[in-house]
Parts: sequence; structure tokens; C-alpha cells
Amino acid sequence: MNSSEIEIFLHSVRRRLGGGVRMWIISRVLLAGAGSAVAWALAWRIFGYAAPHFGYALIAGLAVVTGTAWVISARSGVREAANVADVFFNLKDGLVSWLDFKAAGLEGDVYQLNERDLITHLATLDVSQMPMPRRRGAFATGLLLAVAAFALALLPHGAAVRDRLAGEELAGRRAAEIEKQVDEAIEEIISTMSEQERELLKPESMREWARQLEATKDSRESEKQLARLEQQISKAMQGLEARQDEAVLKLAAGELAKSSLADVRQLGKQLEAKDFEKAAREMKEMKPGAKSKMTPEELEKLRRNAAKSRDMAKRMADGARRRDFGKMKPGDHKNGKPGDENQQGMEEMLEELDGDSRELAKQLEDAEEFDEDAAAMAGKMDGRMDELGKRLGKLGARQKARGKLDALRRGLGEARQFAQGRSSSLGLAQSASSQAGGREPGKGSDSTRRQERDEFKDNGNMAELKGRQNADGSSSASVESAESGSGIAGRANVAKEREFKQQLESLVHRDDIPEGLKLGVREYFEKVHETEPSAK
Amino acid sequence: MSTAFETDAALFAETFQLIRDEVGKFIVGQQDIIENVLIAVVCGGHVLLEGVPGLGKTALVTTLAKALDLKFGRIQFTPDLLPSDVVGTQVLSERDGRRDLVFQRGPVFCNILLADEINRATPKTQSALLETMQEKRVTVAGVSHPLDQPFFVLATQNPIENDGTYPLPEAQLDRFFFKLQVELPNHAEFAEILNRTGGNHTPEIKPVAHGEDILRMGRTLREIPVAGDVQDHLIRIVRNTHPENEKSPEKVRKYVRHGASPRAAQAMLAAGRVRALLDGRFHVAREDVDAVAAPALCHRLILSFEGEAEGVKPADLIRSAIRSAY
Repeated sequence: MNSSEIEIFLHSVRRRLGGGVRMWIISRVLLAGAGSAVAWALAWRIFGYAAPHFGYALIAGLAVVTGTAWVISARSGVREAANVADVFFNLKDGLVSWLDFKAAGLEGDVYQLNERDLITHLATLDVSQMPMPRRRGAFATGLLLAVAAFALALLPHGAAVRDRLAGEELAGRRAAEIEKQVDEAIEEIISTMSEQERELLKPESMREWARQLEATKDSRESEKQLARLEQQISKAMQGLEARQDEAVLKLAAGELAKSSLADVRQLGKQLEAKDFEKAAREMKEMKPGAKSKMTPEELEKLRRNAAKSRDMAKRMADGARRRDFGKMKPGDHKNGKPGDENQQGMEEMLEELDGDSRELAKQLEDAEEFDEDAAAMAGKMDGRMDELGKRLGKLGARQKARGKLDALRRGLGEARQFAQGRSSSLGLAQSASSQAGGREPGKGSDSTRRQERDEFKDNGNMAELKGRQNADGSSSASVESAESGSGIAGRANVAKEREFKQQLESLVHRDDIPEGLKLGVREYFEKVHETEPSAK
Repeated sequence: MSTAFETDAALFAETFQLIRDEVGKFIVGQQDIIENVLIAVVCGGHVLLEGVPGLGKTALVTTLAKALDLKFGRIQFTPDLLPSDVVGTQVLSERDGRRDLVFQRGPVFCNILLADEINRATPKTQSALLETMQEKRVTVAGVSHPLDQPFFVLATQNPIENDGTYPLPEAQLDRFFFKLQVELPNHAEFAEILNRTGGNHTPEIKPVAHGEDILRMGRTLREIPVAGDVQDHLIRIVRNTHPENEKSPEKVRKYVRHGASPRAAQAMLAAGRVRALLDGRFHVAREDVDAVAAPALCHRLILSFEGEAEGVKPADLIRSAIRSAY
């Protein structure tokens, strides 16, 4: 036996100690890792969820890394092994001293004697006698916890969570579908827009609306996004309103309807029906059509058209004058929202048209021949009518654009129902191109005026208001009583009317009313407000 | 195949055992005291024996002197003892008609000096021993007179009857290698003492070693190596007796005013080497150092007022210092 055998002995001790330390560390890491995995699983199970498997993977990875680092850092050195062996085998610091003398390179009789005695002593020792720390309890507990964690990992989500996740999944799919259909509907609208409509509705702004819809699994969030989009569309629609011009034209249409001339009456009907584009075409037909040199037939046609246009201009101007603008000065259009601040007022335009038509008529009556002045006047009249026609065309474009946005907004109402899960399918593009159901607002409830030829439009919206049993939700209850007393209406009737109005208007803000119904109510009140003398 | 050092080591152990056995013929029990006195002797150190009268302190010293065949001197310290009574003095001597001052050696000129009841002499006389104990020489009238080798002072003191005594100053206490407490013998030892000393025949002590043997033993033990870890352990023990050391035990910080000096560490190391040799080892172990810590340190710890007031025993403090050193 030589000094290398002391080293072998020390190596054996180190291995033995390392094994013990490794087992201790492994048992502790197993215990901690399995305990953490069980805690992880339980933390999720308490809320009804299946524990995500990445947590197990993370814990396992951390346990492996920590255990490895711990084992490496806890490896016993030669000196530590010598100390342990000195104590266990009662070597009285023999190994430690030998290591120290060897490291210092000390030589001599006394060191040789020391080494010889140590070797002799070590030859009688058995490293395997050193006790290995038993960690059966920790191992068993760790394994039990690991099995428990594994079992918990196999459990699925609870019923409530499953339902919720399925709901979220469905909401996500619906939101994606809505986003896709809104995108398609907007593209459809853009593709069908005329140049004038494109000027009024910026296509890029509309595409931006679609981009604002984001994928979400929260139906509430989806509804909020749709509500925001609806608000934007409503705002855009408000920007397209030309109430003042329409009101003037409505009054003018009323006057035109009284005309003895069929063409003028036809124009009145078209204006009454707000078919401004047709009205513009009709008006074009009534232009005097002045030329520098005219044949007798052309002159005769000019005279006829001049008479028509004179009647048209006079009646339209009369209608415009009937409108009470209060203290508004001609040209003040701020309340009317004509959309162009520099644009001439409709009543002013009609007034000038009336003046010019009167002048033309006078010149045609006074002059024996169609002279240059009459031709200039007729040309001027043509210009006035062209201008009015353009104005009508623009109004038509505004109306069309509003109609498209309105259809899109109604479609968004359906989309909100779809997002809420109250309808199973969504046809946004179809809805956007369809018309609202029922008769026009304010015309559907008086049975005495109903005529057989009246047709109700069916837009396919068959949503019903359904109550939810044992569910939370807002409700309204009020006691309605007849006015007692003399039967003469008083302030109470006004208050009651206001109360009904408020109740109905509040429907628009309620969640439990189908969007289709709310839309009808909203449109009704919009129309009501529109026909009220709001410009006053 | 045995080496020269192995022979020396074997001779060391054998001689030590012979002396111990020979002293044991007369001294009953007190095995630890005998061993520690012998350790101090082979290390060239001085011993302070403390115990009540009649416990055999003086007998131990005289027996040791006989067993070692060394010149023995004894001084009974009293308050009126003068330094010159210890170290010697110059006397006027007439020789061949000439009168010269001649140095007359005092009782310290011996190999083993028994300083009996050393605490009864005045500090001046006590300090006369300082030079002899440390330098092992006497200087009188500017002339140094070396003492015979080996030279050991084995002093005794009585822990009771403190009236009229002069406690040894710290500097002088530090010069003692060991301070040993001689305890009362047990019942069996008492009976054996009576048996051995009560008859007509008292055990005859034969010289089993000589001064040269002691010096050779001293040289042998100094060959024993000490590992760095063991030496660090020794240093930690000594440093742990100092209240200003952060790692010292709480007791030490509370009850000790001054800790042990490096001379204490030297004493512990030398004594540890002896124990290693006696155990048949060629290296010093921590347990050797621990075993000699109490006799080497107990008289070197100066207790604080609180320590004195609460009757704290230095041995307890030393045990705490050893525990803290691991």
C-alpha cells in the first residue's frame, strides 16, 4: 500500500459522501417539486380549471436545474471527505494532516512514519461502513405527491369552466366572423359608391372603422367594439344630414303637387319621395334649352319649358317661403347642416330661380321675337336649373350614402345580437343592402288609414323579446292611471307624454331588448326629431 | 525497518511511561496531574500547582525530582523573603589576602525548583523569579549566571487563606506553562495514601531518567509536525478567549477582560505534540490541542468584574472557546 491508496480511500469516501448528498438532494427536490406541482394543480382546481401542463413542465425543469446545480455545488471536496473520514473512523486528523503535509511538500522521517501509520490504519477500514443517510420517508412522500400531481393533471376543466371556455371560444369565432363580415360589407359599400358618395364618405375612413374591430373572446368587448363602430357610423350619418334643404324641398314638393302641369306634379312627387336623382333628371327635361339660333319648333319647346319652369320655380319658391325660418337670414345655414359652408341656401336658390323664371317669362311675353336678351335670360335660367339639379343630385348622393350607412348600422345591430349569441347566423352584407322592415316610421299604427295596397317590408328580422327565467336584468314598472277630473287635458297630459317618450327612448339603451326592436324605436325618434321644427 | 526518529519516539514514550510509573509509586491517583506535570517538564515549562494544603503537591515535586535524578531546590515563600534569598547574592570573601565580592548562588540554581506557596512572597520577590523562569539565568551586579539545564519551577499556591498573600501578577502567571488544580482524592485513593504512608516502609523512588533524557525528549517532540487545519484550530481557540474577537462565545465576551497570549498557543502546541507522541502518532490532532487547552489557558484568562462576581469558572469559558473553534 502506498500513498496512492490513501487517495483511493479518500476518493471512495468522497463517492460515498457524494452518493449520500445526492440522495438527500434528490429526495428534497422531489419533495419540493412534487409539492409545488400539487399546489399548482390545486390552485387551478379550486377555480374549476384543469391545471395547465406548462406549469408541470416548468416545475419539472426548475427541479432538474435546481437539483443539478445543488448536486454540483454540494460535491464534497477531498478535504471535506478527509475530515468526515477522520471523525467517523477516529483517525485523529490523520487524513487531514496527511493532505496538508502532502500539499506543503514536506518530506522526512516523521512524514514517512505518519504516512506509513495512516496506510496501515486505513487498510483495516471499510468505507462501506460509513452510513448512507436514509431518505425513504422523503422519497415516499415525494413520490406520493408526484402521483397526486399526475392524477390532478389528468382531470379536465370543471363543467362551469368548460361552459365558459366554450362560450369564449364561440364569442371569439363570432367576433372573427363579425370582423370579417363588417370588412366585406364595407368593401361592398365602397364598391357600389358613386364618385359623389366617395367624396362624402371617405373609403379609407370606412376601412379604418373595420380595422378597429379586434379579435376578442369576450362577447361584452365585442359588443363594445360594435357599439363604438355604430357611434362612428351615426356620427358620419349626422354629417350627411341636410335637413334644411330637405325640409324646403318637402314644402316645395307640396306646392308642386298642386300644379296643373303633369311634369311639375311628377317633379313634386319625386321630391316628396325624396328621389332627388330622378327629380334632377326631371328638372333637366324642363330646362328652356336656350340656343343662339333656334328653329320655330325649338322655340316652341323653349316656350313650353319656360312655362313649366316658371310654374315649377314659382311653386318651389312659394313652398320655400312657407317655411318659417324665424329670424334666420337667407344664407344662414348653420342649423341646417348643408355640409358645405360656402354653399348657397336652398330657399335663396329657389328665390333666384323664381326671379329669373319670372324675368324670362316676361321677356318671352313682351318680345315679339326671341331676341338675344331672351336667349341670355333663357341661358341664365338653364344655368340656374343646372345648379339646382346638381344640388338635388348631391342631396341624392347624401341620401344614398346615409342609406348605405344606415343599412350597415342596422347590420351592426344584428351583429351585436350575433355577438350576444341571440342569433345563430349573420348575414351582414345582406342586411346592409336590405331595407328596414315595416312601414315608414310613424305610419304603421293607425289601422283606419291602412290601405290594402300598403305592403310591409320583410327584412327577415324575426328577433323576439324573450324573458330569461330566474335571471338578473333590468325591468321597469310604473302605475299608469287615467287623468281624472273634467276630461280636459292639462299639464298632466304633457308630463305623461314626456314620460312615455323617455321610457321609449330609454329602450335604446337597454341590453335585454333585441337590437332589431331598438333600431325601430331609434329610427322612429330620429324621424320624429327630424320632422320637428328643430331648426327653429 | 525503523528509522532514527521512530526510535526516538519510542524512547520518548518509554521514558515518559517510566517516569510516570515511578512517580505513581508514591503519588496515589492524580494521574492527570502527574501526566500534565511531566508534559510541562519535557516541554521545558513551569507549572503552578494550586490546591489546599496536604494534597501532595510538594510530595509530587520531590518525587519527580527523585525519579528524574535532578538537583532539587526548595524555597518556602514568606512575606519577608527577599529576592536575594531566591536568586543569590554577592558576599565579601577573603581569599589569598584579597577581599572580593563573590556571587553566592541562591536556591534557584538547581534543576527542579519547588516554589512553595509562591503567593505568600511579596511581588518584588515573586518578580525575582521572572528572569529565571523565562531566561533561565540569573543576573546579579550586571553579571549573568546561567542556570543548570534542564530547569523547571514547580510552584504551589493555596487558594484559601488569602490574608497576607500577594496574588501573582498576570505577567508572571503567563510564564507558567500549565496551572493545575490539585483536587481532593477519592475514597479509594485516600485509603491507598494511608496505606502507603502510614507504615514503616515507604515506597523507594529510583531515578529512571536524567536531565539529558528530558532535554532529548524535548528535541524529539519538536519534530512532530502540525497540519495547517490543526494549527488554525489551535489559533481559533486562543483567539476565542479574547472578548474583543467577534467570533468569541457570548460568555467570553461578557466575563473575560483579557484573553490568552501567543505564549499560551506555544504551550498548547508543545503539549499537544507530547500527547501525539504518547498516543503513538506522528502528527498533532485537534483532540490533543483540546485536551491541553484547560491547563494552558485557565490561568491566562483574566476575568472581568462580572465574571468574578458571578463566580464564572475559566474552565467553562475555555470549553465554550473550544466549541466555537470547530
